[in-house]
Parts: sequence; structure tokens; C-alpha cells
Amino acid sequence: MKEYAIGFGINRYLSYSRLLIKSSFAYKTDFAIKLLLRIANPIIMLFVWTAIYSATHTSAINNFSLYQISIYFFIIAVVNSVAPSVSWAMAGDVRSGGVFTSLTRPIRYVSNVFTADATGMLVDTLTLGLPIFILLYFFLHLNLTLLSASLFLLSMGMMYAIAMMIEFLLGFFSFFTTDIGGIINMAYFIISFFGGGFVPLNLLPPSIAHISSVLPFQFMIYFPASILTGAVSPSQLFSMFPLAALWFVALLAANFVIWSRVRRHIDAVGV
Amino acid sequence: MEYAIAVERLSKDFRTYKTEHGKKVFLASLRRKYYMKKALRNVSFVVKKGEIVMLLGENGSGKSTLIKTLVGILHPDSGEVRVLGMDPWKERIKIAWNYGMVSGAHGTLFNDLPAIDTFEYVRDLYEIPRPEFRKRLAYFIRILNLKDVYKKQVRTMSMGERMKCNFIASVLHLPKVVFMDEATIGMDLPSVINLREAILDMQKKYSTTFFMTTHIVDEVKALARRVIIIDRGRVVFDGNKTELLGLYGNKKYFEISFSKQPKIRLGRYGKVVSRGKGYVKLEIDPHIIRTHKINTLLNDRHVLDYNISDPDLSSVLVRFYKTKRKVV
Repeated sequence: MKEYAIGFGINRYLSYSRLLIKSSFAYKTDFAIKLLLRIANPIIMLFVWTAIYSATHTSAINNFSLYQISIYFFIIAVVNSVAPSVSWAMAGDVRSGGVFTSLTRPIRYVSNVFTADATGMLVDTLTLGLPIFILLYFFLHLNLTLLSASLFLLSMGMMYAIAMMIEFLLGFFSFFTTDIGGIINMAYFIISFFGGGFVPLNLLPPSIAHISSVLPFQFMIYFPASILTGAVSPSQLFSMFPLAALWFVALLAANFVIWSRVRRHIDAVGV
Repeated sequence: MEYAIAVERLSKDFRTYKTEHGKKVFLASLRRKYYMKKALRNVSFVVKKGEIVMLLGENGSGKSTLIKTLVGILHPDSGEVRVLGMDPWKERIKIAWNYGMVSGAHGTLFNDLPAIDTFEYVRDLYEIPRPEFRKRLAYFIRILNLKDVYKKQVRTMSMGERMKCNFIASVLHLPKVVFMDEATIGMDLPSVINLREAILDMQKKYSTTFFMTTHIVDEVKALARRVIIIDRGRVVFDGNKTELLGLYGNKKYFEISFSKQPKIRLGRYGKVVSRGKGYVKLEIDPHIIRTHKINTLLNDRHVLDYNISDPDLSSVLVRFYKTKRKVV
């Protein structure tokens, strides 16, 4: 028997990922319900905004047409399907004792949580994100070019990286307080508000839009959702890269600091 | 000699808060009163390779904290811990290759899938070669009587089946040390017996060291020669079962059933420990039997039946927990 494995051990995480994929297909009706719920939200927004546009007798609000706004909310549904949700997973682990099980195996807890989320992202992209995208392409006649598709994928990568960092920070709270459901929901509200989840950022009052422009939340919703509407140009997206990178590095550093505090906290009060 | 586990003057404090009840719950949740709890105090012991040791103690005595420290989840405040010669806190991942953790409270199986899927994951996790994996799995399936069960979805398994599968998932890599924290909670008797057989067989076949906590006295009787008792973080007993049984003197129990209370005063034979209608249980010195003093009582015409037995482990433990006697 092998004594110790010092290497990266990627196969161990891939095997875990395979197991999670199998596990997620155990209840297939769940996918259908999730898909319906994901589509319901943009459809409701479509009704609301159709009413607003017809009541105001205008074809564009702040350069946003009704067509663009419809695309915008459908893309948000795609973004939400792909977005990480490690905070809920970690809260569940703390409650169920999953953390204890992970820490008694030759694996790193944080890597294991990341593996589980990346697997979930893959499954949700295929079962939720892709069907919504296909719907969007064929029914709303989405204008997709190689450049816009590449930029969209790039912005989705940016969204996933920053959202993952924020999710981990939220998840670490579960080690300090028993129930973090309220904290997560409050954080999601703030992210949605300043990230353009309720209305596109360029429709917000200038003062709020200004605050939003320096926060990381815009990279989590507004940018990926706007690329395909044409509201954000490639040059605008590229100009935002340094800010996104800065936020990513800052959040990553915060994660390292908090995780070492979590380890100390586990040591101080148990797990 | 290299030990499987060596603990030297281990101490560990916890920061915890006082839980309130009734009307005070709301106020207490707003302002928690924290205090330091001494979870482990100067704990020292060694466990030889291939030994089965039972760690006993009341709830909150520090058993789980000790196990968490031994597997490297918690860091000792002072003292030294070595498992297979390594420091578990500093080398958590390295050491995890060589031990298995079976917990009654925390399962390792994936509920939505058959247990075989978790076993295959364990195979990849510990890099067990496939032919070796098949061999080991066949061994555990046979010894734990789990034929076909491991192909069932975990959710549909009985508690006993689930716990046995959980045991397999924790020991498939044939660890040198197995920690078991109340691993038989809720199991039916046949499953418990299967599991005990597996533990004894692993010890014999692979010289596996078992360090177990339990509240089930039968488990102590069936598996352990050595017992460590912990009370409020201190080791209060470390010795073999016979020593534990003889802790309150070399006594025997004498139970008598009678049709009518004998005229002889029972107190002269020993201490009456329990009494019922037509029944009495005495704690006696064995010399009363040897010197035939008991015959006067047995010849009483009202005595219908009698039984002489050694003190049973559970009564010794109850007495031990009550007196909190420190013997080491």
C-alpha cells in the first residue's frame, strides 16, 4: 500500500466529481422543476417591462430597448444557473458534520468544496444554462457572433472567479454562527441590487450606478448579461479587466486570511 | 518500541457559551456568556500496534475532543500527540492515509447512490489498485454479511446495513489505526455482532489498532482487553477489564428467589443491593462461599433458587462514574 501521497492528487477530486454527477442525476424531475423556475423569472420580467415600455410610449430607456432588456433577463437566468453556491454547501457541511468527514480524509476541505461546486456548475450549465440559452437563441433570435460569444464566455469566467471568492467568504461565516441563511440572502440582495440583477445598471440613478461601478458585483451579473445585448462594447469590457483582477486578488487574499481564522476557530470551539 | 498512538500530558481548552432555557433563551441569544471549558487535562497514554482500546466516559467527558485531536482536527494547547510517529496537526493529510475514522454521527456514504459508488470513490481516493480493491471488498462483504446489500441505494438501507457499509468505506484502505466514535449507535444485534467479528478479524489478519469510544457495555466485553476511562478531561482509569471489574474489591453477586422471606438476617452474609417480591440480590465476599457459611441460608426451606455471579461491567461502570474515582 502506498504510504503517503504528496502530489496534487487531481484524480481524487475527479473521482469525487464523477460521484457527484451520478448523485445529481438520481432525481431527474428536480431538473425539470429547476428549469421551469429559472425560466419563470425572465418571463415575469418580460411582462413587467413590456407594460413599462408601452405605458411610457418609448422604444428605448437609456438606450435599452425592450428586446435588449428581455435578452438581459434571460441571460441573468443563464448566469444564475452557472453561478457558484459554495456558501450554502459549506453551511450544510457545518450543520451535518460534512466538514468533520472531509478533515479525516487525505483531501483539502476547500478543494473538495470547490470540486463539488465546479461539478454542480457543469451539471447546471448542461441541464439549465444551455436549454435557456438555446431557447433564447431560437425564440428571441439572439444575434450571436464569434466575438460576442467569446466575450460572453470571458465575462462568465470573470463572474465565476469573483462570485466564487465572495461565496467562500460567505461560507466561512457558517463556522462562526450556526445559521447563515439570513446572511447569505442579505448578501444576495446586495449583490443583485448593485450588480444589476433587478434592473440594468445604466437604468439606475447615477449616484447608485457610480457606487456600483467600483464594486465587484457588476462583474457577477451586469457584465455577462449585457455583453450579448450590445449594451457593453468589447473595449468597455477590456477596460474593466484591471478592476476585476484587482477585486479578485483582494477577495482571494481575504479568503486566505479568513480561512486561517476559521482553522483557528475550529481549534478553539470544535467542529 | 514504536507505538500506534502516544499521548503525553495533552491539555486542550475550549471556548464555549452557556445555553439558557425558557424565557432566557431570547436574551441569551443576544448576549452570549462565553467561558473556557477544560476539555482535556494532562492526558497521557500509549496504545501499542494491534491493540484494541476502549475509551469510556460519560457524555461531555472529552472523548470526542480527544479523538479529534488524535486525527489532527484540533491542536493541543499543551502536550504532545503522536499517531504512527507523526504529529497529526502538522501532518493531517499525510496521516489521513494511514488511519480510518468511523463515526456513528457522521456518515461517509452518498445517500442517493448505492454504497458501491462510495466504495469506488474510496478506491480512487486512497489509490487502491483495482484487483486489490475487489479482493478487499469481497473480504468485507463476506465478513459483514452484506451480499447484494451494497448494491442498494444507501437511502433504502436499514440502519445496521448503512453503518456496516460506512465501516467498509472507512477501512477499505486497510488503515493501520482505526478510530471509532460511537460507531454502533442504532444498530441491530446481528449487525453489531457482524461488526465485532470484522474488527477482531482485522486485528488478527492485519494487526490493525482500534481506538474506540462507546457507551455499550457489551461492546467493551466483546472487544477490549484494555479500557481507558476519561472524566472531565482527565484519564481516571487505564488498565485491563479484569482490573476494572476488581476495582471495588473481589466481590460476587448472590441472587436468591424464595417463597417466603427466610428468618435468617440476610445482612450478615453481605450487602443487600436490590430487593423485590420473593427476590433479593446480595453483594458478598467469596470467602462466604468457600467457608460454606452460605449453606445455612441455602438450606432454608423457603429458598427456591439461587445464582452466584461475578460483578457485571455495567454496574462497575455506573459505580465508577458515580464515585469519579481516580486510579491512575
